[in-house]
Amino acid sequence: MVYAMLAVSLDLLAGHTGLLSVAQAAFLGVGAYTSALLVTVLGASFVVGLLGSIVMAVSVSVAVSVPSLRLQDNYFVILTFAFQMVVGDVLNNWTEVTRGPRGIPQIPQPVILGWHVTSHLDFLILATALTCFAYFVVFRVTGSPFGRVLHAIREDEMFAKAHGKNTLYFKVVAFAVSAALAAMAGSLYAHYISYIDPTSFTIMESILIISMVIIGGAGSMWGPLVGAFVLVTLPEALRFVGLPSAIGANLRQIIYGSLLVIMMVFRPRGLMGRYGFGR
Amino acid sequence: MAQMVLRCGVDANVIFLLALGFQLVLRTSRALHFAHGLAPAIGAYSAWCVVSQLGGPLSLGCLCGMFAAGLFGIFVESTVYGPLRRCGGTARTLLVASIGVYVVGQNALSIAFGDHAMVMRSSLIAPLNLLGAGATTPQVIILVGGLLIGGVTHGALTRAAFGLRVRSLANDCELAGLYGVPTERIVLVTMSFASVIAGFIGVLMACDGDLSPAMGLNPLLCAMVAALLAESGRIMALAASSTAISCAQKAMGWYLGARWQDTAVFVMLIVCCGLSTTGWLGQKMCRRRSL
Repeated sequence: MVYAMLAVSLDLLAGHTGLLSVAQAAFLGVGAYTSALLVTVLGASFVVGLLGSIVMAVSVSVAVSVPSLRLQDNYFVILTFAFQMVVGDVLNNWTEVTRGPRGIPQIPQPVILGWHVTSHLDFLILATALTCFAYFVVFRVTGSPFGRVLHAIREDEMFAKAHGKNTLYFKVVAFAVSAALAAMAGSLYAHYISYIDPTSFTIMESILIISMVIIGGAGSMWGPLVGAFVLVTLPEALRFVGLPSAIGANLRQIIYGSLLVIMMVFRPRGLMGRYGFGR
Repeated sequence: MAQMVLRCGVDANVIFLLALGFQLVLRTSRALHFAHGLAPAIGAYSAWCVVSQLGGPLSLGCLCGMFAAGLFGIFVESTVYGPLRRCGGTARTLLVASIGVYVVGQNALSIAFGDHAMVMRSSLIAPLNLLGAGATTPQVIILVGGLLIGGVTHGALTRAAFGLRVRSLANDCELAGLYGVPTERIVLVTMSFASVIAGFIGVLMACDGDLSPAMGLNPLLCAMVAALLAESGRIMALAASSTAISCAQKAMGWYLGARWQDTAVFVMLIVCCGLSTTGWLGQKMCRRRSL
């Protein structure tokens, strides 16, 4: 469910707006750490932590997106790479706040209006609810006049500008909504795992999220869900193949990378996408 | 101070040579060649196999490393980028495919050699005294090599017939094709040249430090930043960007600690893009207005 939220958040940006971002894991990390710090250090509730993580992610996304969204596509991607690396370095090195590589342990389980989320079933219900909310937000955004402008930007930004649309504003807002959804996923992840460290929010995680969108299909509601399902269940299915544990993780990454290349060559729309990614 | 200047120069040359190859590939094949970060690792591991496993001389290891990296570049262009371009793939498609190639390649190296850092020892890696600073032979070769390769590349691009064809392809590939420029061949040669240089750098980095499957990722990202800041593609601009990035890294390391070195590079990029979309010595990085 967490990955489904991340995939749909990136799909809003990549599939509906045409902006490929390699920084979703950075926003995931920002959300997770903000929520964890608010709850463990300030004693705030889960809801406050969730809202705080969304506010922090939106603030950071606006600060990064305003200068970067003026750039051409390729350079925007490089900038998101750079942002991902900066966030990774900050999480690793700002030990006074984030505790560096030691991470933040003992993140308490959520309590929402008296409901203690303790069991796996409770977390599944909470995650499903948040994922449905994320999908609802993306569905409403992309189905609105705002969403039609995003699609116009994706297809031909110059055409949208010629019709008087302030494309920078629309792109910044889309980036902020995408970051907010990723931060929401991060907050949920932190409280579910109860321990977070910087190794969970690296560039490889961003590449995994991109893979989900591309394999599942960009620009559709079901594509990211299918992509997340395929790439999350694939490691479980590979267990039955009997791969040596020493190379299992590497082999999974090889499969993800191969699927990326194969999809780009043979099926750029992915399994259930509407947008021929990059074409 | 002399030691810091030397280290700054060495790192600047590493970034410059990687950025040179990256920029050449970007301008000819229109591909953000993220898999370029694999070429140093492939070169380094090939050299390691020759030197440490087969007991061969370092010079032979270096040649094998460069050859292996060049083959890798040709393979990627022939099997991934070329077919994608012929199917109408855009720069974004090529970037995503490039990311896939990098992920596959890095993990293949991890399976073959393990994730742990390894060292490559050779009698040729001897300490030297260079103007008061302690230098190793690989560092001196990097310094000299950067100047030589940069100079030769600049000369070739501005004076040689092949270089003029490369520039014509970089300016307008369709028009170049109409004028009979063999675009596919030029792209292939450029890709292999970039990969050979990257392999050369990888071997020297391995001699100077250690080698691991992800050894090329950070230098590549610094090289991408340098290429972005020197948008014009001029070699002098690229050298200036690389030097500035290296100096910024060392300054950040000096004042805040070595752990913040890489952060300086990327913060510099974000700030520079916020102040100006022109790069330092280049043209606008915003979309060109169509006629």
